[in-house]
Amino acid sequence: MKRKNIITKKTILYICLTIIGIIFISPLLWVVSTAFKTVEQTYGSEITWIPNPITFKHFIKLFTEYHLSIFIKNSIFVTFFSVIGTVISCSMVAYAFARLNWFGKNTFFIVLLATMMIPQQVTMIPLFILFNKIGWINTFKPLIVPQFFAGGVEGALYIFILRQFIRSIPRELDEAAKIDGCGYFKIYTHIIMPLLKPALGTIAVFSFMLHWNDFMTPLIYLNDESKFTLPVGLQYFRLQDFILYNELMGASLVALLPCIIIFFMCQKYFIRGIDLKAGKG
Amino acid sequence: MQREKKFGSRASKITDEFLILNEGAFLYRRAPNNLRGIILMSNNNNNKSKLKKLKFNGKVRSKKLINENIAGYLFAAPWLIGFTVFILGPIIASFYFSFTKYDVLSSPVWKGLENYNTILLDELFWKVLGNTLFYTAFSVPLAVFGSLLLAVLLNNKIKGINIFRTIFYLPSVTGGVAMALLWLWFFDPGAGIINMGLRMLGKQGPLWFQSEIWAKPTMVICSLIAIGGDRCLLFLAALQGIPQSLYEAADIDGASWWTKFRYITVPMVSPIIFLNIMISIIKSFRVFTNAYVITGGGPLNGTLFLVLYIYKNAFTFLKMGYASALAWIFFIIVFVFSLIQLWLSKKWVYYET
Repeated sequence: MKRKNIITKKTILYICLTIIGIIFISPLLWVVSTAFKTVEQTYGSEITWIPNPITFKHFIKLFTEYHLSIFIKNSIFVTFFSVIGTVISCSMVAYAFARLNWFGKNTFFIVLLATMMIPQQVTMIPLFILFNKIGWINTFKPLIVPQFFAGGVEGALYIFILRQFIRSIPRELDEAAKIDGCGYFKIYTHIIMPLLKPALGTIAVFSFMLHWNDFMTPLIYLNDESKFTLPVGLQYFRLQDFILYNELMGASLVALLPCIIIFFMCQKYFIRGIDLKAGKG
Repeated sequence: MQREKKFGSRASKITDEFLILNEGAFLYRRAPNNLRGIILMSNNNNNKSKLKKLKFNGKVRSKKLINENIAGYLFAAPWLIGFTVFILGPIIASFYFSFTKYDVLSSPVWKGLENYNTILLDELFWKVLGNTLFYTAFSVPLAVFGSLLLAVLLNNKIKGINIFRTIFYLPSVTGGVAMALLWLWFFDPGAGIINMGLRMLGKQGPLWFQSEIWAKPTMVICSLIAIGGDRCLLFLAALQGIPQSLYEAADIDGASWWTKFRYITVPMVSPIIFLNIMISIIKSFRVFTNAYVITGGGPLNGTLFLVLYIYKNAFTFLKMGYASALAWIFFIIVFVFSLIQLWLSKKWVYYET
């Protein structure tokens, strides 16, 4: 009797999970479906999930007529350097906070934590004025340079996460390296950085997602079509009357794909990052 | 008395380390002033040569301290510079601009409290605030309750549960403009899948984003796709910490699923519920991309949310002073919620090792 109960319970659970799963995944599948459908089928009177026939026309059009490749190139450029900048600068600062004794460290650490509460919207106007003054508008510099100074939106959080990781590395390793005559910089590059790899992975993945999808910052600073990143480029497509949903979804798919691939490749980083925030790390 | 106790415990900790390491010189450097005697004593008995080495290192120490300070500042320099240039400076500037009239082309003109006065009398601002509060009031409870339910469903040890976890998490990482465009297409009044489905059932769907009544609720629905993300994982971690014995006891008493949920699960994860409410509130106050891309604030300013209003004032109308004042009001609202969150997280979220 009890076993039967468990089986029905499990069946109900599976049905619930499957229904919710379908609801969650269907928007993404709909993007894929629309991107490969013919126009006739898209605007037909019936819902068809599987395109028949499958067409690559929209992608060809996006790459030949709409310069999607330029947006992709820009996005890769900006994201790549933003992630590099974030990883280097945040790990350096985290090392200083975790290992070195310097005057005012604890005060600065509280300041660092406090900056997590400052919304980007407060600083964006003066920053625009500043970058406008020094002629950085319509360049990638306002998107990339702040990342090299741990000044991104999430900089403080990354520093905090990395600091916690560094603190879990045994100090004896530093001391041993010191006996061997290593300076602070060598300890950072030869001891801390290699051991920090998992945490750096977390930071890199988080910051990739953030900068790949970032919309507001490039929207503020980039005016020229040739400079647009993918999110701004997508918005630009939308504003053009003659573009169809098929092409729009094709472009969206191109923008979504790296996120999805990285998510599947680096699933553990997402979970671990959360563990850290939740206090299990 | 208390001091002694404190030092006592630290001393034992450090001598423990000493026993393990047997590296007197390093312990000496790391030990607080008052403890040096103790350590030297424990050192003295069995290792005289090391003690000599310590004394020899005494002069080098101050130089080392200076070196470490220099190294510390050099390593922290990216953040120190970044903080000054990209955070502190702009905050001060923003506060100053909020009292001025400034259109970027000419220099700012001091206007005192005029911007703030105008905001309070600005009907559109109150509408914007109302929109934002409406969005928050509906999306936050739905998101928190939804993610809790998802977490409860996912907290079962059955085959393939990890696949479901992945599927539920996925939409929360694929944010941004692409998702916004997806919603635009999904809820298209003509050829969108929702209205097509409704038409097949013989019903005429609403205009969704283009309808004054439906635009905001549709925005709320779109925000719910992300409930399987971080918030759900926080709940999942909390659920896994609930002792199984509580449920077993309830089972013996013949409690129903709902009773167990209401009287065991909810109270046990209540700290995380509060935390998630705060995270969601701050998140919903910052809604921008969906509003900008899908509706641009319309129809009839029905989806004009606070951040979008700040953006439009600053970069469309070039009213930098007015936008700065708006940003400060926004900052204060978010700051209050952040403080509550910080206070709560101090109690429930782990920060220090």
